[in-house]
Amino acid sequence: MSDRQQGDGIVGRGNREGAELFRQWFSELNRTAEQGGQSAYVFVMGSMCEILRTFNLPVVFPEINSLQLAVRRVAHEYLNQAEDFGYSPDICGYVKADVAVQLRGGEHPMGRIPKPSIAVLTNACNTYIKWAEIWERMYNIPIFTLDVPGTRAAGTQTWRGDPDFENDRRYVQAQITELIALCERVTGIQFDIDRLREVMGYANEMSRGWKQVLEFNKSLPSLFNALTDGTIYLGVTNGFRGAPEGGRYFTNLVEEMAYKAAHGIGTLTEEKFRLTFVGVPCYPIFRRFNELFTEWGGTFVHSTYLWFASGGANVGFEYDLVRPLESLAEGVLISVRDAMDSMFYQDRAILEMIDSFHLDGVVYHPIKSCRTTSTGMADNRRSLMAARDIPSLFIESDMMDRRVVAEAQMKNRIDAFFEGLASRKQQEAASR
Amino acid sequence: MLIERIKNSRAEAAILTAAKMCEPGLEEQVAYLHALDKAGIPYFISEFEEKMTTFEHMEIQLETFVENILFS
Repeated sequence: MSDRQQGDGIVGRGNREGAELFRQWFSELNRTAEQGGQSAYVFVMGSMCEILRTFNLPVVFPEINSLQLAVRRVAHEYLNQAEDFGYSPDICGYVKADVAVQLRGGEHPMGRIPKPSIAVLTNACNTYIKWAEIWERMYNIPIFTLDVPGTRAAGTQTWRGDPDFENDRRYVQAQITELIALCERVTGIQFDIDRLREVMGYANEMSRGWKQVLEFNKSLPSLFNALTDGTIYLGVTNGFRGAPEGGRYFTNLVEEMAYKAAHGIGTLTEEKFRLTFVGVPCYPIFRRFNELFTEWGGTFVHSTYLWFASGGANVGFEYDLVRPLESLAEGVLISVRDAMDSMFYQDRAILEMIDSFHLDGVVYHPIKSCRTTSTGMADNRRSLMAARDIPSLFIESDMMDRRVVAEAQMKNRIDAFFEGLASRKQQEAASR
Repeated sequence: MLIERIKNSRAEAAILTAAKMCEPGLEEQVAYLHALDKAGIPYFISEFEEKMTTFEHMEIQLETFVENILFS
């Protein structure tokens, strides 16, 4: 096979395979719904897929179902239905879209979503708790809240060997033991620690690959767009965590990135400005939103979304399969904590990547629907600006609700931002 | 629990109100209103803002609600 032919097969493979895996996942969920099978409703920050897969429970991510509705431009129909049911315009759009999916008996453009047999959530987002209570009321199912200790103050994370860390890890491990007992009751399947080891092995392959993929985008030009391509990769990190296909996908994706790096193959954008994105994307006009940046030669080389919405898998924690439960608790603690830090203290991480990722600017995107990711953003921006002289843009819209997406206003702000970036580059060039 | 408290206190109606910035309150409000509908208990529902300065609209709504109870 010639190098050209090999490249044709590798370049873009991650997007093709990601889309195929997504279709496969939703097709299986549809089959489960049609057959009245069991499923677990989970969230992206601390899905506990490792445990749930051990019990052969198909996983449903209502956050992903909801964002799919926005990308497919039908979110407003679902939001209106939930608001008619009584939900306020001021609450999380993901919650409302999911409520409407449930009221429609699981009807979703990608297939029927099965009803839950159990819901598992963490404290990483306060909305998770109220959201799961809705399912509890609707379906009378058990909900399990895993309380993961977060970072007490910026920069004070503790690690293995530290007494505080060990206390936190034991606290998480005790809860995991309770979750296992609950899964046994719900499924009638006895817990098999060797099956857990197998699942954790696949998760290891995925975490290792995901971390490498993110690092690869230090390349000049950048190899993937963190906003668009990244969202596809992100879907696989969640939907296929602990599955053999998930591990294999990321091994293949690392190969693709290595090939592109070796051959200088970047994204489709002629890269003039390298940006990082803070927050959740604008899904109601997803493609156009990205174009507002790429038309200026701006490409997103990284995004905090790829950190917190992968549940902290970006840290690349690999489980020790010799002591699975202890290691799972340690991994969950470190990863979910990192996901929370990516929302609340992301200024520190961005500071560290300005030079290594050759960043020209930072784009903050607070959204009306999500207070968890948006509330501290203005303070984080101020902190970043105080620490480093790097241009930043602060634009507001939404992840679900097209009624609060003002494209023309955003375009004005984005155009002005790029004019500033261009002028800055010219001045830098002139002063050399 | 809300229905039980209403019945125990022999209240004739309920007022549900949540701050617009308080997502948990807004979410619970929906469960309450459906429970009140089911129990056939009249209720008044409103949202308020932290920096709210005009109350005329709410006043009219509340008066209408009270009149509805008085004259029903």
